[in-house]
Amino acid sequence: MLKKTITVTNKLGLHARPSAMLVKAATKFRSDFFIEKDGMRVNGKSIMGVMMLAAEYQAQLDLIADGVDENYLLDEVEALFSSKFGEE
Amino acid sequence: MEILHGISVSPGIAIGKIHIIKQKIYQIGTLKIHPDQRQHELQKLDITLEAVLKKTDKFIEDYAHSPQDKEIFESQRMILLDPEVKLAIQNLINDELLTVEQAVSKHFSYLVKYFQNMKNEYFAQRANDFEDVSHNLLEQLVESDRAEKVVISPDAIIITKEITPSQVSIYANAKVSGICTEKGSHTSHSAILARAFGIPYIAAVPDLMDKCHDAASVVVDAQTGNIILDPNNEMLAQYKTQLHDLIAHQRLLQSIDKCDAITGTGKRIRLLANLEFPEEIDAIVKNQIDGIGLFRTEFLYLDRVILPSEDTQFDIYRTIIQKIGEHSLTIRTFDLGGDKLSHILNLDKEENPYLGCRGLRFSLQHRDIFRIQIRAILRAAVYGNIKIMFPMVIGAEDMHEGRQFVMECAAELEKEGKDFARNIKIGAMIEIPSAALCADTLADECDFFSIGTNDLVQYTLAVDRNNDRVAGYYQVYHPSVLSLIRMTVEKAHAKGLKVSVCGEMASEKPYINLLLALGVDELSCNSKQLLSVKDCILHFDEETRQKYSSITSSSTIQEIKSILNIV
Repeated sequence: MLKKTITVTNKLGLHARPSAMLVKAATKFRSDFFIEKDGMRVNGKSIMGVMMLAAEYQAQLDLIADGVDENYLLDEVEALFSSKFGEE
Repeated sequence: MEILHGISVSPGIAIGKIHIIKQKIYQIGTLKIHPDQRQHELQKLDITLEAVLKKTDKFIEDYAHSPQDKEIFESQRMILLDPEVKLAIQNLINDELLTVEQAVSKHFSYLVKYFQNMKNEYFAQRANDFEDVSHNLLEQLVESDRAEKVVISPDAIIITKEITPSQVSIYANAKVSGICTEKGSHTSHSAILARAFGIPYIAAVPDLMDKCHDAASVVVDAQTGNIILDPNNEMLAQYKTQLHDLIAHQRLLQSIDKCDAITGTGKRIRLLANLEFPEEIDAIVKNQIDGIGLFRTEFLYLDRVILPSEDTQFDIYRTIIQKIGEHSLTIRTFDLGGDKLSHILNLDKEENPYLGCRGLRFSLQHRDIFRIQIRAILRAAVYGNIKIMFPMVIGAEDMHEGRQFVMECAAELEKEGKDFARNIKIGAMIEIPSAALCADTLADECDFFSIGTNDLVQYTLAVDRNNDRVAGYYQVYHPSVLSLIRMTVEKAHAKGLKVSVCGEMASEKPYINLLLALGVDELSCNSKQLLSVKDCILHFDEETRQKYSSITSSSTIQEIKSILNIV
């Protein structure tokens, strides 16, 4: 299991489009993927879950991956956050 | 004053105030399911998610051209594919014993509220996406949307774009005076229901929604298909008189409701009603009838996500037979072709479905589906006088095969120790000319015959009555058709079988006389026409009989028309 803490850096936060990108990226991998925010934990492969987090600009998120390809999964997801989901 | 024109699909006259219906709301019931039914509901969920996903893809393809539009619908796609959404709904079904409709509605209502309560406006807007997906799922599940829950006054004339059968039922209960729709047709289930409830209904009215305003005065003349908006006093007075006469005529017919259907020549005719939807049964049994002569079962299969189970069908048949007491219920096994079941079965398209695999032939080739219906009927027949009728019988051979199959199903039930009717009566629809021509040998395989005149005429004359170019050739009184009916009756009587007629011919006056003269024993008609058909039976005397008996196979169309008094 791998865990990383990141900060949401795009201004609009994890709204529909970034959530969709995130879920799509994570779904390509076999590992389980969870996101935690303020004690709330959701399935990172669920658009419903990710949107329910309502993660705004500057929110702190824990990304947790568990499985054979957990490294790759986290790398890709992290890259998405760093690219601010192509916004701004 | 303005006059709009449409197609009258349920006769009558209504005077009232416009009530425009726009919104759709789903009525999903509150009854919980039996634990055994969970698997069924879960399966339905899978199929529904897949079906809506397909529809969403199609929608994206057809309507979402800009990348932004595509993105909006893309998130809807993802909601449909979301494993957590599915799991939450599955849990509600498994743990709380909700139907899939209830579970979908409950979970999405929760989500919509959850998002609406978010402080961040941008996130709160996502509630719309969930609302939309929820709507699409329910639309797929609840085969027809239900009416909005508003108070409808009895003199209301419902004006709407399209109307579903369940809406018709709801408005009928609210006792609305009339219905007009922009779309719709004579053969729609909604139209059939409107006729059964006796609500005047005009369909296919262009620009209806634009021209109508709530609460405006209106006359619906479903005798001619005219809708008169803001009628002037003269017009209004004229229609009030017409309506008054119509009601007076109805009353006159009511007075014969309680007497038996015995002809003036002394023959007791069994008067039966056709039943299309189980919902109609309560209205039908208020009439004095000898039973249901034709219960069509196609509704069980159309627009369904999955085929109805044996228990579902059993419940429906049992409920109906228990409501009609000692009278008979003739269930016609489903008359469908592959085209109507393409959403469930993967079948190749047929070049010519009318001459293709439908009716009994289809059933015999899809015995797994057929078995479920036959078993349900056999089990329900314990509760009363139920008969089985096969559609589209060609002759003795396929009838024999169908009968054998019923015996097979009975043997299975016997083996399983289930309660079922042992001596069920089985009959054939006579609607393919070959069945009439071979009525002699066919009779050996049957307990009764029922002539379906609509198809018999179409197949005899090779005329599609919905095709405007040849509709004029659709002549129910054609000597060839009359010969076939005569032949059927004679052969049946020679073998001691009774013959009923359940097509539209059984509800129009000149034809009723003709059928009675030909020796038909039972007439099965739309419930609204029961009284006028009975009126006709009561007036059928020796003189009428002789007049109509003079029609033979060598009569010309002109001679027949003049006797029938048809222009």
